[in-house]
Amino acid sequence: MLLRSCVFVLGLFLTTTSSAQLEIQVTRGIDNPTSIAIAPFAWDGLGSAPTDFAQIVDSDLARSGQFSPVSRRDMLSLPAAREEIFYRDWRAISTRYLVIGRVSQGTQLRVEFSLHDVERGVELFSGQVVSAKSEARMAAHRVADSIYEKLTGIPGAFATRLIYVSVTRNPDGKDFYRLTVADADGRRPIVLLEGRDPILAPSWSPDGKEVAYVSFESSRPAIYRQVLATGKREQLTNFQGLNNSPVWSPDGKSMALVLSKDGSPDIYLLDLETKQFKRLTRHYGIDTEPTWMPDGQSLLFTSDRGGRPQIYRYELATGKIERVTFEGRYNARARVAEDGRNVALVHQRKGRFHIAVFDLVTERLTVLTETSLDESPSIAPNGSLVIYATKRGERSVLGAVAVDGGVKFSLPARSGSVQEPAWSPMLVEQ
Amino acid sequence: MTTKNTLGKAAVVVLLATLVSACSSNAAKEEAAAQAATARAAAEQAAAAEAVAAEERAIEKEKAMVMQEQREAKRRLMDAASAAGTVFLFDYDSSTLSDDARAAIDAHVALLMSGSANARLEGHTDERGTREYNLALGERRANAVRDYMVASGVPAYRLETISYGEENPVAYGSGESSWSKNRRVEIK
Amino acid sequence: MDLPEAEGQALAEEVSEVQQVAALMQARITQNWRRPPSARNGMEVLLEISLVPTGDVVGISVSSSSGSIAFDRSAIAAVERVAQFSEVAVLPISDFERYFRRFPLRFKPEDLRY
Repeated sequence: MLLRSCVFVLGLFLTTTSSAQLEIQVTRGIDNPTSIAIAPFAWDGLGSAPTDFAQIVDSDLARSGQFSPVSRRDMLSLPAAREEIFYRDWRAISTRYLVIGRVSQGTQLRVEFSLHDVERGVELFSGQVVSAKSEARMAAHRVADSIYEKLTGIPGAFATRLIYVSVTRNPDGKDFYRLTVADADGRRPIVLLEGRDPILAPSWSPDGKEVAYVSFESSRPAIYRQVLATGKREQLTNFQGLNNSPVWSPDGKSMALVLSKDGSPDIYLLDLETKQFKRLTRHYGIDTEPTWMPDGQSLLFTSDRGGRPQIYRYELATGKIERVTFEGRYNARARVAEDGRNVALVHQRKGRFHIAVFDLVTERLTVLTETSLDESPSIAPNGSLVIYATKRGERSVLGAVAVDGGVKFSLPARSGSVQEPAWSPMLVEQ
Repeated sequence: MTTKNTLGKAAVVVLLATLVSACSSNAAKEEAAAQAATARAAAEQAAAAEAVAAEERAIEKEKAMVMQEQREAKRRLMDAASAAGTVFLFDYDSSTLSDDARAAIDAHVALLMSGSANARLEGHTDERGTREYNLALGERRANAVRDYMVASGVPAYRLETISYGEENPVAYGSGESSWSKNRRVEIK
Repeated sequence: MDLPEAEGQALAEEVSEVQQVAALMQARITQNWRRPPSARNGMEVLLEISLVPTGDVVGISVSSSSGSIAFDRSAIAAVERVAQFSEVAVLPISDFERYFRRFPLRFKPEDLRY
């Protein structure tokens, strides 16, 4: 009797192998955000601290949807060193983890921090971030990345940047365009290019040091590349017709783009060294919006060769083209996550345009948003979030949604419209 | 021997005098004739010049009339084109020219064929769908207008096409009333 | 009691205690497993865990990957978070050696949204 009931319970989560080895199976995890406290970091430098480091870490972890930081008001003590930690103070407010830190300044900023398991009363991890004094906010984001990775296993993408196009309508009715780069939390926007002529399709180089975009400043669309640090520009195309959608290859040596000079929009490859163009697709329909698979071996692109826009895949070695999406009448503007498996795209359902994720392995399509005029998805370099543009009233604003539809938020809306966001790759520390 | 010579001399004198008077009256006659001829020639020249001038005036007048007709014709063509409007609309997701669009484009074709000016065709879409695909769709619309105009006789080199996709709407709201206004090709 | 029955009884008790310890371990891992947004039902990673008699985790390796690095790492992180399975310390050393010195741990979510 006892044996049978034991075996029954055993069967729930244990399997026995032939050598009577037990295998434990875990079929659930936690969805609720984990409580974490980030105590204000001490400042050892002169004058006031360049920024509130703990607050930045707090906001980053909160925005991930996986953590719920403790409010500073609720903290019973404010330790900045190990010896100042009384774990009972933190158990009392039911927080699971504690982060403390200290910032000092010499020729550079040095942020030392440690992560503590409140329940077990032990230090899990300590680290340090060194940065230029002007990059205090980025140093805090790197601390958040470190904490996030320690607790979830996946790298954080908080110390990254966004590039987007901001459009304001002047009183004379003419639109004014600004190509802008900002931190991933929307702070510290810097204008890279501005004018009355449309700017489109911004994208990042794999090393995060350059951007490419389409500008109508010569009264026709042309593709440019620009070094962020110096502002130095180079015009890459000047053909009749469309010059659009520049995207760097993962190895940084070439760029896929769209030209219609040979009759209809097709995908071309530009060798950035030789400046030679190679035509990849030949079809009288519209082939556009190329994007690279992370292994650099193939491209996904949008084509209406089948009648309406769908995603296709082009294999560079063979030139083979095959259709990827079959669900729905309109699938476009694919962006592939670093895992090479999840593809964010724009999907039309019942006349409404949503952001969806297509799983290349299971071939399942999952709609992530409920708004109806969504476009331009871009995936965070750690594959966790999709940022996109959506229409709100007469303006366009940026929204973000987790790749499983979990957390949703929108970025602070300035005046005017914000559109075409592109998330930077993981940035190499300065 | 004396009387005979005097008669002879008188006769000669009379003869000479007659001759002289005859010559002088001939000269005078000739002079008069010459004068008359000159006058006649001058008159003829004047008449001819007058005729030429009159003809030139007539030609000028005719030219002016023709030009006036041409200007008026051109004005009619311009009015027709203006009445047809510089905006050709399209259905959702379509680059097919409607009959209305065709009629309007015909007016512009006529105007272009009457001169040597160039035209710029700008293609646009409504905001739905992705930006980069819409840039291609706008080009498809501009090309459709261009192809029709070329088929109607306008030389291709005089037509420039460009697409702005959804970047330059004329109506900013969301909904068919705004969208239908944005799905267009403009001729400039 | 004849021998088979006695053995059966002993086996039952042994299995029962091991089962209880395993249940506790499973619960602790579950509480620490934070899935990445890219995780999907049906993904599966098999880890091999090495412990010492105090329950401290001394080794984690991937026997069979899910194909998603983020998914694999989230599973590893869950075990690292637990860090010490103190519940194994109550077991007789023979049971520890047999079942928990080195054991397979399979993560196969069924509760995800997608």
